[in-house]
Amino acid sequence: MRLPARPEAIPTVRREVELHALRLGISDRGLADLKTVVSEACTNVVRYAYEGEEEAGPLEVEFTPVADSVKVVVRDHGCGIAPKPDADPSLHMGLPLIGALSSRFVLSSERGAGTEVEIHVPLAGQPEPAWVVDA
Amino acid sequence: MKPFAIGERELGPRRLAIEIRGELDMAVADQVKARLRSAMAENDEIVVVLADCEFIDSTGIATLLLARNAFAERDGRLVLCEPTEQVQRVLAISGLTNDEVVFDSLEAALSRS
Repeated sequence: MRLPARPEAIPTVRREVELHALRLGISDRGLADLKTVVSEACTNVVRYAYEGEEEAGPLEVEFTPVADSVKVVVRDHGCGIAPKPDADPSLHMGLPLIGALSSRFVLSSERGAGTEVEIHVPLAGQPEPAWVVDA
Repeated sequence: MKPFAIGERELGPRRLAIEIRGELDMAVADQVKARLRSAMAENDEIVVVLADCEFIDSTGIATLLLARNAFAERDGRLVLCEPTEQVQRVLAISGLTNDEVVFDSLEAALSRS
C-alpha cells in the first residue's frame, strides 16, 4: 500500500491492515495491538519524515503473515531520523508503545534516505507488560 | 466502526462532559483540541467520556493530556472516564491509569472532584 503521508492516510492504513488481519483470524487483542502499532508508525511518518517539504511524500506499508504473527513494514523516503526541536504536540510515547505491543520491532534509518520500521504482532496479542501487571 | 464525533453534555454549573466517539488519532486531533480549548474557557471541570471511543493512539492521548495540563495551570480539572478495552490498554501501558486521570465511570470521576 502506498499513500501520500498525510494525517487522513493513518485511519485508511488501519482499516486496510485490519481487513488483512481479520482474514488470518486475529484475536481482538491482537487486532487492537496491531492497529495501535500501525497507527504509531504511520503517525511518525506523517509527522516527521517529510517535515519542511511542500508535498507530502509517500507512506508505504506492507503486511505479511508470519507463522502465528503478522509482520508490518512501514517505510518512508524522507529525511531519516534526526534530532528535532521539542516543540511538537507529542509526548514521545509512540515508539515505546510499539515496543510494548510488538513481539519484534526493528527500526532502520538513513539520513536523507528514509526510515523503515518492521513490526511483528502476535495474532493472540502481546502479553500485558510487567509494569502493567504489577501496577 | 463508529464515525468520529464529539458530543457535549452539561453536568452542572461550569461542569461539562465531552463525549468522544469513533477513533482519536492525528487525523482528528486538531478538532478535539479546538473543542477542548473552547470548553476550558467556559468550565472549571471537564470529564472526557471515552465509552464510544473505539481507538486511541499516542497522538490522541497527548491531545487529552496536554489539554489536562494546560487546564490544571488555570486550576481546572480534566479527567477521563469509561475507557474502552483498547483505550484502557494503551493508557495502562503508558502509565496513565494510576494517577487520578482515568476513572471507570462518570460517577467515579465526579465523586473525586
